[in-house]
Amino acid sequence: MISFSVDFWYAGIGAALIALSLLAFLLSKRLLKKLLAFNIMGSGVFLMMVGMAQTQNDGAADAVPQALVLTGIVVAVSATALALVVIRRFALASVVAALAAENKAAENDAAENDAAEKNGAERTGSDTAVSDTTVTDTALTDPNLNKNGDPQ
Amino acid sequence: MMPLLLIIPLAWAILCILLPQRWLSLTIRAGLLLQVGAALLLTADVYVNGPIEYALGDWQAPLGIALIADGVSVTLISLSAVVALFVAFYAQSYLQRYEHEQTYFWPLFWFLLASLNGIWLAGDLFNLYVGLELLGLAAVGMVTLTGEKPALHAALRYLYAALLGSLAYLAGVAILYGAYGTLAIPQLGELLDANITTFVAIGLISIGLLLKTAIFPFHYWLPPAHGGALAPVSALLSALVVKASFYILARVWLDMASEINSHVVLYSAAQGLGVLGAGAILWGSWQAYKAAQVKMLVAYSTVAQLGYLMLLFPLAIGTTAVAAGLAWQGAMLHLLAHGFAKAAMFMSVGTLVLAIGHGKVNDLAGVSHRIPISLFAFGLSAVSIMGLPPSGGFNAKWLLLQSAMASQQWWWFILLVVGGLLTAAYVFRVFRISFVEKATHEFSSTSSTLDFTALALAAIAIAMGFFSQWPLSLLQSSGFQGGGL
Amino acid sequence: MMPEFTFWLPVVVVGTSLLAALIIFALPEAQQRTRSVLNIGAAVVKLAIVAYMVQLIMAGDIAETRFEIVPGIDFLLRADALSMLFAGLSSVLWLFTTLYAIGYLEGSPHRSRFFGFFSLCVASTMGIALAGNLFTFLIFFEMLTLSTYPLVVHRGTEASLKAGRTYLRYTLSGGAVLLTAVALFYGLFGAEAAEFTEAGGFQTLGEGSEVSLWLTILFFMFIAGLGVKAALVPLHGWLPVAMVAPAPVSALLHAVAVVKAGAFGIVRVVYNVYGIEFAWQLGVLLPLAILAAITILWGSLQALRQIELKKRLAYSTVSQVSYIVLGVCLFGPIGTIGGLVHLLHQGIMKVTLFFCAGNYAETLGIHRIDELDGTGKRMPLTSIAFTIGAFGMIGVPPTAGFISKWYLASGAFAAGMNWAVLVLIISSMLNAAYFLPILYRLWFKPQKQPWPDEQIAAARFETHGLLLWPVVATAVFSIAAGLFAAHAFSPLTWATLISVREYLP
Repeated sequence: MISFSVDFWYAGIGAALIALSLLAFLLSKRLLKKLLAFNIMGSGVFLMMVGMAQTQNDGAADAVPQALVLTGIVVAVSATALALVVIRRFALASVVAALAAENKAAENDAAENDAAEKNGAERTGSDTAVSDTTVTDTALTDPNLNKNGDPQ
Repeated sequence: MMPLLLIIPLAWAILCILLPQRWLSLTIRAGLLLQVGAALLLTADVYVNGPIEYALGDWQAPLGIALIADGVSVTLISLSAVVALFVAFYAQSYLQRYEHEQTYFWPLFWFLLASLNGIWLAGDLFNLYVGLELLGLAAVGMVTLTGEKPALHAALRYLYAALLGSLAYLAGVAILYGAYGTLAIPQLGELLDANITTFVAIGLISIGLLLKTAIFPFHYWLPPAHGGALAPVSALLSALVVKASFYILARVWLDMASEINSHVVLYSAAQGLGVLGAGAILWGSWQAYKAAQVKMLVAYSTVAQLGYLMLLFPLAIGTTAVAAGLAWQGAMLHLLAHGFAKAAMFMSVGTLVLAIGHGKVNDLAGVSHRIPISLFAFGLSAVSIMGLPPSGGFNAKWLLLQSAMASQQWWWFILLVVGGLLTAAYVFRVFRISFVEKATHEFSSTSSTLDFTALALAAIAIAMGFFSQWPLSLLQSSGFQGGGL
Repeated sequence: MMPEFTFWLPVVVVGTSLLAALIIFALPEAQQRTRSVLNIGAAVVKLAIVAYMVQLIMAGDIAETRFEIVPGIDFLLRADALSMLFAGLSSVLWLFTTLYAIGYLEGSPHRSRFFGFFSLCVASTMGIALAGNLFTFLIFFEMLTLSTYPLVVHRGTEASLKAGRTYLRYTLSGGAVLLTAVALFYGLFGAEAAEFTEAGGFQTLGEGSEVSLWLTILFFMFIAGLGVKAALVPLHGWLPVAMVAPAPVSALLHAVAVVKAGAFGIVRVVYNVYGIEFAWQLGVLLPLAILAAITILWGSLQALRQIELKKRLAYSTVSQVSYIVLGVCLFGPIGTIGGLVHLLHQGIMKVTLFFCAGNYAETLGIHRIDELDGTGKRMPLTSIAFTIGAFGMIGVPPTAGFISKWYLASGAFAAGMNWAVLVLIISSMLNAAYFLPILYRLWFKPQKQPWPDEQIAAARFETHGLLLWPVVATAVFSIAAGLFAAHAFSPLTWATLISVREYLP
């Protein structure tokens, strides 16, 4: 018998959240989106646990799952904070690396273009400016699927 | 004694942030000695008096944190205390070149040690979760230390794998609590029924832990993280951190589920874990053989060696008591020997890389007489990793072989023998090149502390070949022994 | 007091070389004098302890070290009569080879590493000699593999690295087979049966055919694992290739330690694990004898084809080591004596020959046989020693080799294996065929061209003293072991003692 009690809804919504966010986590290339997905997944798990707290004894809620959820939230917040810091540094490092590479390429191009025709150098410069924004964008995608970033 | 093992590292983590740089070195050494002393005292206590329980702050379970020290916990506590001791001495010398990294390394180091001790002593599933999370955060923090792009990239992969793993674990734990109303492992051991809910819960827990232990095919995050970190960090991660989640996995399967694990579902799943182990051994060894960077070679070697640990499950579950006992002893001995040997290996390789300035295997020519002691330490640790006698690794392999025979599972027997040869293939790549005379590059001088700390750990791995009865009798003295022995 | 003392003796014997190795590794390259003193000192101490243990055995006391290493399995070192045979051989030859190596490697780089691993090898050899059960034997057997690898690749040239790779492929695979066999043996028959006892652990053939099937399979796995080091055909491929190593390595390791470790292991398995009576009943000795006979003939034939001196000696080793295996398989005490005594005799004689080859190479730069013309005049003492060694290999009286062959042939007759006598005769003729031309070149051919690469000029002696005297000493031993074979302390007397104990438990 399925009883549509409160805890059922908690568990059901929790499971749905977990399923959706897991999908997002696995399919997304973006590091930030993955992190958000992880947070929602955590919420799903917590929802299930809070739901359980309602059922144990009639009326009086079980304190244990609530304590667990509290601890879990603290842990999730610190993990998220760490992840954000690392993502930010990674993005910066990527930009720096990409800029260095671009500059080098630009210098080479410029040198070549200098030899060939002087007008070309300006055009290369504007190219670099445009690609900066794209680099920042790709830096925030999952390195797994980023061919340039993969060390293997 | 037990709370001290948590308080000392946490206190020192804070001290390392607060104290000025010039007091650091001495403070750290004092902390290390205190830590090893506390570990040894607790070990002696458990050896003499049997398992000890302790409720932290006098808060009783289930809300409080209950600590349990049995034979297994104290063995692992001693392992981490000793490995941490030598790694710390190594790091003090190694990090002199890394001024900036040093300020963050030490707090994270103590934090890592605190979480490890927390895991070894935890008596219930939720404290294990908290320990795992803290361990993961400390470990990821250590990987990011250099701040270089590849390291950050590896750290992110590691972090996401760890987070996903923790959530899967937590979901499994939640289901178990929902079904049985307790999180304490001993109580759960009595209550568990062989039903679908339990299987789903154990499945979720196992997947989470496999991700964190980097068992093939979930190993993808380990090589860049371990291979890209600073040498002392790699040593800690490979020797201790991945063992923590394996330890929980073993606790779940052999302690918590000991009553029901001969059920056909769990029995088959245990065989499946063994197959993953086989995949890890073969794939890890092959990747190590192909690795161009020596640190990646060692990191893939960790992937392969973790595969041997997985053989515990098919050998101990659903077999005879004798086979299970041998498998348990073999796996634990392997865990210890690999802990010492792999730390020594990463440390010696770190010295070699420091000396030649980069880490290509093919550029190690001439190392054998420029940096002989580190190479020798690498050699000794390699003996244990290859499972050749005399070493703890060999005795572990021997016990696993005997267990495979006792349970008539010949395929694991063959895997163990073949795995040893594969290991030799990639290890001797390094030796071969190190004996070439024509050095192609400059050598910068390295401190002898780096040499001798690695040598000491390697020597322990070798000495375990003669004295493995000591840790084994400690393991047997109390606590869970696998297969409900 | 007394039992404690003897408890530690075997450990001390192994430990002296181990300790020497560790100190030598730590010594700076330049501290040549300290290193030499340490090397020679350790060798002498070891020899003294071995001599003392021989005395103990004579008095019927056996020194034994035993402690549990993994549950149910002991680490066991025991100085019984057979182990003293091998330990004695190794410790005597270690002393001479150390002296020789100090002279040979003078001024060359990486001596710290060389002597360190050299001592480690000897420690492993001692461990093999003293091992009291299969587990302990396996430990030191593998340790020997690992510690010889750095010596094979010592020169760091392309050729030596290639040789090292071949060496590892053979020995590690052999080691894996041996590990499998030993692990299966422990699993099937228990730790009791794996302990080396006089006359073996199995008395009569059991009822179950499954047991004897397992024992037969395991026997051949043991032989396959040990046979790699004993260079049984077709597992001998590593030995000629490994000749790129420096001469002392070829001399001690390839003539004595490594190949003898394999042969000694076979002796242990046949006599002390299975028991000779039982192995005979099981019917495994005849196939092994045939394998040994094939190796003897094949090795000799290959030796004939070699033009390099060291390679010819290497193939000669392949052939000669199998005399020991053949002797073991001849069911009967006389054949046993022949096999065991050859373990010693072949060691002494082959070391002499390799020392000589090293002297020719080091002094005059001679590596090929056709360069040896007229060397007898230039290096008379070395050449006399070489001649003695060669005569010994052929089996000319009164050399030590004659005694071996005499007992082997008598043993074959006594066991009714007349074909083995034929093998011995053919092999001796082949030995003569590949050694006599060398002797002819040494003594009767005039020197045709200048020496390829004369390094040490003739002074008071033909070459460096440290290269010369060890050769002379081992050559004298080769003669003495034959001449005084009936003496109380000769190898023959000792082998007879063991043989009697194996057959009359």
